Amino acid sequence: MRLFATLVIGILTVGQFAHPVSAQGTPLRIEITDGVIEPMPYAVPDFVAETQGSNQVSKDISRVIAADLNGTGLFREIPAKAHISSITNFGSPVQFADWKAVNAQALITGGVSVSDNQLEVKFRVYDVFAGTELGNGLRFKGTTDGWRRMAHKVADAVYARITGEGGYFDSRVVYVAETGPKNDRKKRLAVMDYDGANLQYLTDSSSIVLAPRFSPTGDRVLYTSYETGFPQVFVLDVGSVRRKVLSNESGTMSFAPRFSPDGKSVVMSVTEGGNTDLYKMDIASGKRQRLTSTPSIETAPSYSPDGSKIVFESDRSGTQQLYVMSAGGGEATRISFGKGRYGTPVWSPRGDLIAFTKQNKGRFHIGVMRTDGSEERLLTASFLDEGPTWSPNGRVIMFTRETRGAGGAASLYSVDVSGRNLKPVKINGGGSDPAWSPLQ
Amino acid sequence: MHIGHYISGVAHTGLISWVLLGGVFDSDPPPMEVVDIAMISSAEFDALTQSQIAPETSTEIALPQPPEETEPAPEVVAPEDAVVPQPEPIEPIEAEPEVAPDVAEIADPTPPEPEVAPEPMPQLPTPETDTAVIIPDAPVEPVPAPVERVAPEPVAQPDPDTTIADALQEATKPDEAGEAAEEVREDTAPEAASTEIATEPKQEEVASAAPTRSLRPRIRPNAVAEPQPTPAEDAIAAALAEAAAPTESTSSAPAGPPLTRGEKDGLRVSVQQCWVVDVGSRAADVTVVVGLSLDQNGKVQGDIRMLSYEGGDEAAAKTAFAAARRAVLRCQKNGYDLPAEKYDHWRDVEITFNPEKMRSR
Repeated sequence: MRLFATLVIGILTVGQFAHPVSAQGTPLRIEITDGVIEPMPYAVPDFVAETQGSNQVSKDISRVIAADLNGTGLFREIPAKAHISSITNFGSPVQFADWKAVNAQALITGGVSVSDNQLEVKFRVYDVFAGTELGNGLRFKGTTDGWRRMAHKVADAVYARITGEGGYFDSRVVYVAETGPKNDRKKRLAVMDYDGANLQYLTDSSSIVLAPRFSPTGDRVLYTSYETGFPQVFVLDVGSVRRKVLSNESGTMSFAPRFSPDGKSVVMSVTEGGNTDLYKMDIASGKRQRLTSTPSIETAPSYSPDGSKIVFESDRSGTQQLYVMSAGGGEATRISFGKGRYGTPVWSPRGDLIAFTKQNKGRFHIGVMRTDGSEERLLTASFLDEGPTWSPNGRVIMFTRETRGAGGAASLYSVDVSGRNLKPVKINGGGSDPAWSPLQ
Repeated sequence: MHIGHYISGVAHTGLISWVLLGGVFDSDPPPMEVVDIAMISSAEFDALTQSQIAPETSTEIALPQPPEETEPAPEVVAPEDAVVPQPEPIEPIEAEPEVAPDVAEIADPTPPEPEVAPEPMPQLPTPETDTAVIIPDAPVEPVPAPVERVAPEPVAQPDPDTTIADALQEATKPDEAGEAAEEVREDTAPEAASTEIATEPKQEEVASAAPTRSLRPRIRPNAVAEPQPTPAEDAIAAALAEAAAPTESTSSAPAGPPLTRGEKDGLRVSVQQCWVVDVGSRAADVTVVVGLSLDQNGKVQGDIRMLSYEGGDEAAAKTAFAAARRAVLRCQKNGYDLPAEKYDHWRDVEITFNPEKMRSR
């Protein structure tokens, strides 16, 4: 009897213990549709100097990384004086609680060592609140004079790990540097890091230059020059600064060139007999292929990233509008239908958007639209905004902004594709017609 | 009282005997299905597979004629890079592991977690390759079987006692006179038309499209036999299941009243004020659903999991999930403010982060 009772009690007891395990009710479900748009707070303590003589460069690298990230408008650095924990050894465990306490959502740690002329930079990125590392530690090696570029590389990697998209910090911009008053302005080609550092002039100011464009590999630049008295397209090697005329047909004017995505051909506008049409030129053979044949003005062509289509501006409808056609020419489809005039379209490296200049009611705008012309959004408005160019990751647009009046000057600005973070680009003097290079 | 002891003793003895000796009374194991596999010679095998061998193809291909030499293309750039000092190319470890000594050289700063020896995975038998099946030479098209049709004109049904036969004959009747000796016959009649339409042919008459022969199957891999519960275990398991069953059926629904709209909104507002959306990124196109468990203090316990996503690729979904996870973890502080008496209702939470409205801001 006792055994039987024990067995029954035991069975019932086990049954009771089984209850919480098996009781899995329906989870509470909620939906969140409102969030906040604000920069992500992060901390980047000075990288640890691991060798003698690397103190300064380790600090400099940390500052460049912070400047890159802060400049996106997506991140906000927590100043060092607010830190309650420090990184003195790159290999030490991270005290996540200390970084949570200062509300750092991401933490970047690094170490720098210098040996002779060789520089080594290593870093890690942490998700503080999850208490995990984002990706693996990474190390770069190079020479000490390339420290800025290494810092940009680290910033690109950090950006990619946090946002899931590629960065754009290790890139350059070619533009037309302008000096002097409006009625006697000197223009020459210049190339710089995306943040304005390492400025280098590619041409002198003896002739007017316009609309430089990087090749897909970033080693060559197309531009339009008036050095022969009328506009001609030139190609320039950025390394050697040597140039040659690309289009030398007598009696013609060529301008608004742009490389194809494979870098083997160039599409440009050619004015012949008073009519301006689009042509494609094979760089190796010099052969030209006519893409449009209308009595209107077709110009500012830009390839889609896959090279299958070209967007351009044309006044064939009576006003300046945007059109898309096959890369081989043929029927074009109008994609802009808003009020005003549209020009200088540029296809996004992502392939999903087209940036453009819009003029309406005496104001100029930089805007973006889908490749079919839908979802048009204007990102800027001013007396004169024009000439957009995309960052390599398709996230930022740089353009020219010119101020009003006789003393007005042209300068470079950038804006996030969301319309936020509009800011001037630091350059030496005035500048216009920027063109972003691919990621190096 | 004594009777009760006797009954108890007999019942216990019976139970113990059944537990210990129950197997003795088991019937024979269920019959095993046996499939005969015919052994064939290699010559027969070759004959069977002959039709599957691809015909020989010629390997001699005429080489293309070399193109005629043309003038070399004009050079675009030639001079050396002497003017612009360029930094030495740095060596990304992930991209060029052979150059840069890699991530592994960077020691993990986190204290090593106690290693848990993973349980040895059961060695599954290597699956054999699929056995080829010889398709019949010509596809067997199902031939509609003859079905019974209703006759265009009604036919009188034979008497139920009439035997179905090809010829019609009448049964012999007893000779009232009793004079003539006649062979005894039964009533017979030909089969009459059916009284209803058979819309489908009979199953056994459908022409089969299945192959009538196949290659010899490979040897079956050694299957890991599942342990058969002993009768004693069966009995205990049945008893446990019986004990747990009524409890389970009543405990699937959490006890107490559900959360009010205000209480749900409180949790939603708490999380959304920490949900940072990067509206210019591809992650802003992704709606992600995360699942998490809370302890009784309202703090997240265990991992936050991504249950599903839609609207973007995997990389964008990962970024969207990371933002959602940060939102939940950042704003929990000392625990979400939820009514303790309704813990069963909010122990497990699923949160959908939908950035659609944010994109238009």
